[in-house]
Amino acid sequence: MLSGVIVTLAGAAVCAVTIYTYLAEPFALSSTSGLKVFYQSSLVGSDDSNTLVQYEPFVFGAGPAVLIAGLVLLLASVALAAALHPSTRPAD
Amino acid sequence: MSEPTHPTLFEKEEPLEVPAPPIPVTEKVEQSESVTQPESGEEPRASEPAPPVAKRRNPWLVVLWVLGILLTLAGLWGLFQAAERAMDPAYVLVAGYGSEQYRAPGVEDFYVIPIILASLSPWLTALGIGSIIAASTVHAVQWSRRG
Repeated sequence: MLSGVIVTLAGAAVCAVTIYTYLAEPFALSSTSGLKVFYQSSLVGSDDSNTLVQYEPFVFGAGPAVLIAGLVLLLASVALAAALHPSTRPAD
Repeated sequence: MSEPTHPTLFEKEEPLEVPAPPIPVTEKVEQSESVTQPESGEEPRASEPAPPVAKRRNPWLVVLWVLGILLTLAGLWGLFQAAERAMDPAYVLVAGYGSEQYRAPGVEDFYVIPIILASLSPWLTALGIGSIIAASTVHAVQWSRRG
């Protein structure tokens, strides 16, 4: 169960780092890049939110897989604990 | 004429019996109170019998139910939000429907949040439904063993 919690938290941390890195590193405007133009994201602490930048499509990476694996471990351990609880065992 | 014998170094003397110190009156009262004797003259029991095992509450089963319901609701909400954003990505509603205030979508609305919802929501829904099925199975096993 502890390993499930640790893997879930690690997956959430990987997802958060991936999103922050993506938002903090936009591309400069270019008429030949073919990317969509957005305002600079305010989620990464940028004061100048009127700056136009370009982002390429977001790719999540391994974060969701780690997060889901942690949740599977956590739920499996809880289900095992529920199944092995003394109230579930047959009476002697 | 026999001479009196004295014990040598290799011979053990028998230990003297020292009488036990008298117990103070307060300790006697405490000892007599610690042993509870029933008034009907029955012999005292060591401890009360434990409650039946089958009637104890299973806390892990409650946790499994709660996790299953929360994950299912979160997954369904994420699927609904992903579908809604996919249908109308041009504007984002920032105020109530009465005031009709919209803003242009940022990169979070256009790229990040739909990807997060689309990649996590199906798994959350599946895990939640699996947890509910596991909890129902444990209930069924308990019921069959009681019967």
